[in-house]
Amino acid sequence: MRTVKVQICAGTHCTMMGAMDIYEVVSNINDEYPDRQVEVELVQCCGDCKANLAPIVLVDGVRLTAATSETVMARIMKASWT
Amino acid sequence: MKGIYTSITKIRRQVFAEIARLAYEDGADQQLEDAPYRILPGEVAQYRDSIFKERAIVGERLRLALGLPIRSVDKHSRLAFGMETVDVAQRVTEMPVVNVIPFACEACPTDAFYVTDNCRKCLAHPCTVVCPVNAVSIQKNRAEIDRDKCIRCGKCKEACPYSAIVRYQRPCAAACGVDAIRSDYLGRAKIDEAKCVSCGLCIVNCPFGAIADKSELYQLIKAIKKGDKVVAELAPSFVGQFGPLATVPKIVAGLKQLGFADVVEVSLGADIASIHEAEAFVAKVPEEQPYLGTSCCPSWALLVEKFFPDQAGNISSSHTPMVAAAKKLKDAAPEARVVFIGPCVAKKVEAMDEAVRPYIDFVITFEELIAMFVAREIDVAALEGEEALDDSSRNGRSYANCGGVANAIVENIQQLYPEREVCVDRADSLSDCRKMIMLAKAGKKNGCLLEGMACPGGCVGGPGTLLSIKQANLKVQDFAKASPYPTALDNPQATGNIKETE
Repeated sequence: MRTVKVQICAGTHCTMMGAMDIYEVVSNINDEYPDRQVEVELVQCCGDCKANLAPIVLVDGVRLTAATSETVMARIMKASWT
Repeated sequence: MKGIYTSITKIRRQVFAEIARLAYEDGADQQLEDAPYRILPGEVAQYRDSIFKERAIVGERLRLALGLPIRSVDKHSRLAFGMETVDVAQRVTEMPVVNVIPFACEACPTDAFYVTDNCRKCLAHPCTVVCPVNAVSIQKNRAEIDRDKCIRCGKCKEACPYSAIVRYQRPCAAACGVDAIRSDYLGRAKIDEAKCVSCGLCIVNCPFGAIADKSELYQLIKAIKKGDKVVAELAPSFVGQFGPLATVPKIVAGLKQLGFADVVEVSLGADIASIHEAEAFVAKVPEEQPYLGTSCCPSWALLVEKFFPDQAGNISSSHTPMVAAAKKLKDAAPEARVVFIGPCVAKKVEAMDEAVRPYIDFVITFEELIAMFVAREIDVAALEGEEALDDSSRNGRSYANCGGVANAIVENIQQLYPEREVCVDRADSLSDCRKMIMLAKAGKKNGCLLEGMACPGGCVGGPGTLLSIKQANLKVQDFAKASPYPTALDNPQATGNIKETE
């Protein structure tokens, strides 16, 4: 097991499109899944949110566009074992 | 489903952002026809079985967001039909505010108990034994419940050792605290206007996104564009709603960029109202009225008015915080146009009241406001903001959390009349509010101050919010603590106002 780094955009567009809901789900990982470890960071807008790309989430530096808690969680679960 | 971001949340917000864009550009009439294609591009359905149906539903959502009524399915009309009546710079909203889009409704079965595949057809079958009306019988494959006989007591569900019996409720009806959801001739949900108190909880609880409310976003933007002096009144649950990096000064800066002339806290009105209500309580309870109900939640006040009209006189006649704050603004600047920005759908209805109309020009929700930021491509988190808000007390800001209203009034009473003891009861969710008022009617709440809140958790649980109830509750507490004034009586803006009016 290793710590997965998750960066979530907290810009206004991403917030409207559900970034904070992703933040809440990801923030609970350390408590809810004791065998997983994540480090969550909120980041400023990178300007990629135009054209239906919001919300933007980076998992270990890999950029997920139009992210949902499903796609982010799946990515984290996979990353924490590789 | 409050607190879970679903496809329905996404579509609702995309619709608001699209309407905001249309309002900022010109020629909305023509562009509206293209809007469903911008929100749902391509040829393949994403959410339902057909892209045509998806776009038709989004079309009706767009109409509601413009303030237009839903079109009838059995008659041809353009999506923009009636556009000229709403393409104005003032409020046009008409009842009903909360609408079922009939063809988006999947006609879920009404309240019933079902036996699922978990049934083992066991030898003991306690389900049949405990049923008081002989409605459960063991059939070829499993137990069955005779729906004509069943009285929905739930005993069979409790008795089954395999959890094989489930209660199946329409989510909209389950969320409705006043039993306002009926069925039309096709079994689809239909809102009984005589009962509905416009709390909006069915909107956020329908898993098919079939219910939506009308918006005043378009007309508000037109008023700002026209150059009117529009003042934003922020309800106390606003903190944190626009993301964790969007601090209060940044939100104020964002509102100024949107063209708002000024920004004030609704909590100032809460302070004014809580002093007024403290005085009213001491003066009238129990001599003139047996108890005093708070008035700030419009759905709770409407519940009492519609279902317990003989008790309506016991609900506070003080202005609600929304109106008290607006009145102060308009007394100082009569040309100002006031927009209430909050978590609430029912405020849209309150604002239509003849007595409230002169003070409140528009009502929008936090979801609708963030759509304005997005349409203007304003990133609130990145703004430089200096101007903090200091209009209200800790107690005034705490109005957004359940219990906060009663607490504010009680602390005022304690400060003004230390001898006086007050009993308090409160309820959040309309079904609990209903129980509370029934007890009050029966004389069980005499001498009490009753706080009613329609939304679970208080205003922070409102249908127009973006943040989870838990997070919003914490944010409100932090913001409340940051106020330099503990109670309303410490707030010079609120007490000064009382003196002026006397």
